[in-house]
Amino acid sequence: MATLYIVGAGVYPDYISLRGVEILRKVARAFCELYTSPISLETLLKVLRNYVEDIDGKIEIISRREIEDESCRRIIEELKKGNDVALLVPGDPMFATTHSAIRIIVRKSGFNCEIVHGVSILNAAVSLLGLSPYRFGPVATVVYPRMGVLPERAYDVVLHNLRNNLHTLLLLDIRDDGGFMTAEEALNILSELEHRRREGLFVNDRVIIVLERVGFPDQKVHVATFEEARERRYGAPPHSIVVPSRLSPVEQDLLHVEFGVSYEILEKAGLLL
Amino acid sequence: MSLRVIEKRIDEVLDIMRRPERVRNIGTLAHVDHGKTTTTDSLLMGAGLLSPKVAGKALVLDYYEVEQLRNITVKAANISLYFEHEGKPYIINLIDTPGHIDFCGHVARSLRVMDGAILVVDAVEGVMTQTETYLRHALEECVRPILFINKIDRLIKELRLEPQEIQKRILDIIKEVNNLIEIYAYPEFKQKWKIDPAKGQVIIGSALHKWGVTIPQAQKAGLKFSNIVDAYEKGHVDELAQEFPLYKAILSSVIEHIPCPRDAQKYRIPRLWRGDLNSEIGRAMLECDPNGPTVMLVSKMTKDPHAGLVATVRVLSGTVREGQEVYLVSAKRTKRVLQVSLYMGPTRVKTGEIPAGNIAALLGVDEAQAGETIVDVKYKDVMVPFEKLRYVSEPVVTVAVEPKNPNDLAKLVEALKELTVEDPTLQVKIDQETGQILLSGVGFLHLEIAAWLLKERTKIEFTISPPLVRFRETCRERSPTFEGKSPNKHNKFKVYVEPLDETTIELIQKGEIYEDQDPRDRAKILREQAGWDTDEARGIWSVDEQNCNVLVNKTVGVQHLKEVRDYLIQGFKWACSGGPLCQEPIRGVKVVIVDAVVHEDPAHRGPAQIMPAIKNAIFAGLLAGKPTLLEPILLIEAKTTPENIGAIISVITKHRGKILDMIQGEYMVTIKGEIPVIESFTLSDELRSAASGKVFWSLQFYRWAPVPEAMLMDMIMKIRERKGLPKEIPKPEDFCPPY
Ligand SMILES: Nc1nc2c(ncn2[C@@H]2O[C@H](COP(=O)(O)OP(=O)(O)OP(=O)(O)O)[C@@H](O)[C@H]2O)c(=O)[nH]1
Ligand SMILES: [Mg+2]
Repeated sequence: MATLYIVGAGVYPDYISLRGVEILRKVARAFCELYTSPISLETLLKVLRNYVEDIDGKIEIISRREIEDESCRRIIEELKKGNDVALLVPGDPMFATTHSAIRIIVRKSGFNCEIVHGVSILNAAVSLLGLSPYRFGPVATVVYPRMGVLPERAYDVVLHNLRNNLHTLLLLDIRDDGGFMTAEEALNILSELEHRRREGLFVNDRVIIVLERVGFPDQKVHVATFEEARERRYGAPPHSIVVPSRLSPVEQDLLHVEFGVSYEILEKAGLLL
Repeated sequence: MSLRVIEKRIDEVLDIMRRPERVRNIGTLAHVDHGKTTTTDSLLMGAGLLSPKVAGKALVLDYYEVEQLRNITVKAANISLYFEHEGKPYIINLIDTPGHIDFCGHVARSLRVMDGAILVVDAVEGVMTQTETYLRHALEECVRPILFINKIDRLIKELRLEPQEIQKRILDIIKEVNNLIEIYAYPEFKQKWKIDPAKGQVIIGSALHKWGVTIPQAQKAGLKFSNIVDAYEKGHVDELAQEFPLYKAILSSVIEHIPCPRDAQKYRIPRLWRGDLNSEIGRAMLECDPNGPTVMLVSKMTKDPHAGLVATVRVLSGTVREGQEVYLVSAKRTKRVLQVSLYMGPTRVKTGEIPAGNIAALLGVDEAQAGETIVDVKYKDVMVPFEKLRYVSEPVVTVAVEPKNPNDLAKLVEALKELTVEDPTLQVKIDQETGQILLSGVGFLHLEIAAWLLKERTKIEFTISPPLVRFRETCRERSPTFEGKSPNKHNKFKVYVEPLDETTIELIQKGEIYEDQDPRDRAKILREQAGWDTDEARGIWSVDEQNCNVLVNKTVGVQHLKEVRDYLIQGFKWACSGGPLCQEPIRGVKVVIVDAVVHEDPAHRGPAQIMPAIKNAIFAGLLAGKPTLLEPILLIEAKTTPENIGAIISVITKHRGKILDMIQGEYMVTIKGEIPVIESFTLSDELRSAASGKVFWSLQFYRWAPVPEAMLMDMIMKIRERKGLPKEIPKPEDFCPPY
């Protein structure tokens, strides 16, 4: 029976696994979905060509519209012919984006579906900072107001996590035109939420961590107070933000040795455990 | 007339305006061609703002050339007149209203700012459909009528009636008008407002020949009907006009019988305004207090090529002044009044301020629309807006407007949007697929005039497609429950649709049920008048006022549902703007959400996810709820001579029309019937030739009715084909697949 392999390409194309490469070599037809990724097809192919010689001939872009509105018509057709298919997606197949629907359709249509893990921003951010994965609460996305509505979910999640002494990873929205929200925009939105809620989350001396292009060759980490972070300028997206709760000694030491964060500012912000 | 004369009068004028008992706000109402414009001209001439030489020929209130051609007034224009009665000076704010039913929107907005109306009735044609329609709306708006029976000369010259017959004809018309007052007036005015010729509440005359007289005036002067017939037969009409000038008869009757603004506001404010009458604002409006908080009601917005948008307002309390900061209650905007002026003749004259009880022209309140309530900014948080204006007609005819040079597109759209600000009964829509600019109006003539104005203003070359009739989509029974899923499948809404009952539709149309209403007030009205279940009525999330649909939330305890409420409402309105049968608006449907699943993260439940989810469920429901198309039906009233009855009836019935009533008059028979809009294109020619020209008729929007079953599929397919939609009508599964 034909199988759909959903292959995680990782946060940057060179994070793709050997297993993923194997599958791309094997299948006759592959699709890639790039709408949640800032990486161009060109960059992706440049890396993949080194491992899968005939990649140009067999990979095609699949749009969000096709996945969401047309129930992956082309993928199902291919599977019906009895051919295995690969679907290359950014990050990890089942993290953050919404490929679960594809998996359900494929399964319900009677085909196999195999997940090939990739590195998602969710684990990359955690590992990069050296924060304990046991001490993270739920993730939330900072989103743009749409049709006059500014969702407050990010504020609620951070509030809830801090109350439970948990760190928060905040992902940033994708604009309807495909562009990515920058850290500058996100900080403005968080500040607007603070203005509405006034529960003391995004105040001047809150320490936050802005992550720039995690996994990219030019990744950067900024640890700063909210006030400083708002004054800084950041490079090209993608960006994400971590709001740390109180830090264990190991977490403190790692932030210190890796990113030069002084113990004083952590103490001043009440982040020492 | 030199400018100096007017300027000298401004001070005087303002002094008079500050005394409500010396002010009247009136307008003219009449069936098309019964003589409003001619009458208004006589009044202008009499009041001295125009040189008498000009008045007879130029129809001063008709601003646009197109009207001169067609002899119809397009815009409700305003003029403040100066008139002396029994030695005292008065200011009469006069609003000329259009008579063609296509422009009913203008009439409705004019009525709001008037306290009294001169009902002009052609003595030969008598009371016609629009006479009745406008009188009814006037009475519903608490506008008190007096009657001018015009074109008496025609009774003499064309019908050659004897004096007794003339008298009888006049009494018949009065009786008919009084019957209407009995039917439509509020209970407390049914008796009080009946028209009494003995008290001088009827003027008879000829606007064309500029004479007019009330019964008491005639008695006092010893004038009899036979004298009038004589004057015409012996050519003494000029003397008649000398001795009994029309403007004097009308304006004296106005002053004696139309209440002044202070008296009128005492009963009109409680009828037209829902706020607390004991509040500071309430009391100031009841008293028409020039020192109270400034409250104004916008009757129309017009574009002045030099000054920009001009708002015509009635000042209900306080005094509006240049530089004042005001708040537009519906637009929710604070603005500064840049200029305050008075309408004099066809021009505006700066006055710096206008006190309560009068009509003013304002610059600086650009975002206002006709019907807007404007208050002093200090009262922005406490002001309750006036009731929504009811529009008599609906936009049922559409044309596509295409610029000859594609580069002009943006400019053309901009100019069209301005037109819709001035005239909210016009609608502009850009078709997303074809990029066509679609302009909709209440009739063909309405659109032709809009196109004419557009060309005048923009000087852009464009083409107009043949008119298309708009339909509505609806369901005839309750659908099964469908689950609408968001594209990412993480949000689901279980929804059914069912036909909305007629009473609720009517309540929405009348503006008694509306979008921004307090849910408890709304629930109360729906329970008491339309038999709604209280919980269901309280669950109303949105009222689509435009197309009379309602969105009800019946879910309990669904997490995050509130956070996507606005997107659901937008999705509901989006679905209602073009249904699944052939992308015509959905009408008269109740959409009920019974259950839902909403993703916790806002990135996965934005409008792009939620709006299609609810729309798909609504579409599936509509298709499974015995869907049909509604077509617009016109009310036709034709007057003809008895020998032509058969011919007229056969024209109407040939076009899928129905005869509703037939009234035998003395000289004429009135045939009332209904006919679908799509059948009405060639009606004029056919009626005229059937009755060899001896027929008057009028058409107005009447109702939406289901397309006959036998024609339904054909009609849907035709519309789909025209719009370039796939041949196949979609099925519920296309919107809510099993998975
Ligand atoms: N014989 C006669 N004709 C009149 C009289 N008053 C007006 N008319 C004519 O009736 C026609 C319509 O007059 P208008 O004053 O334009 O009528 P209206 O009600 O303003 O018309 P719309 O604006 O088109 O609704 C014109 O041709 C006038 O000359 C009158 O007293 N006698
Ligand atoms: Mg006119």
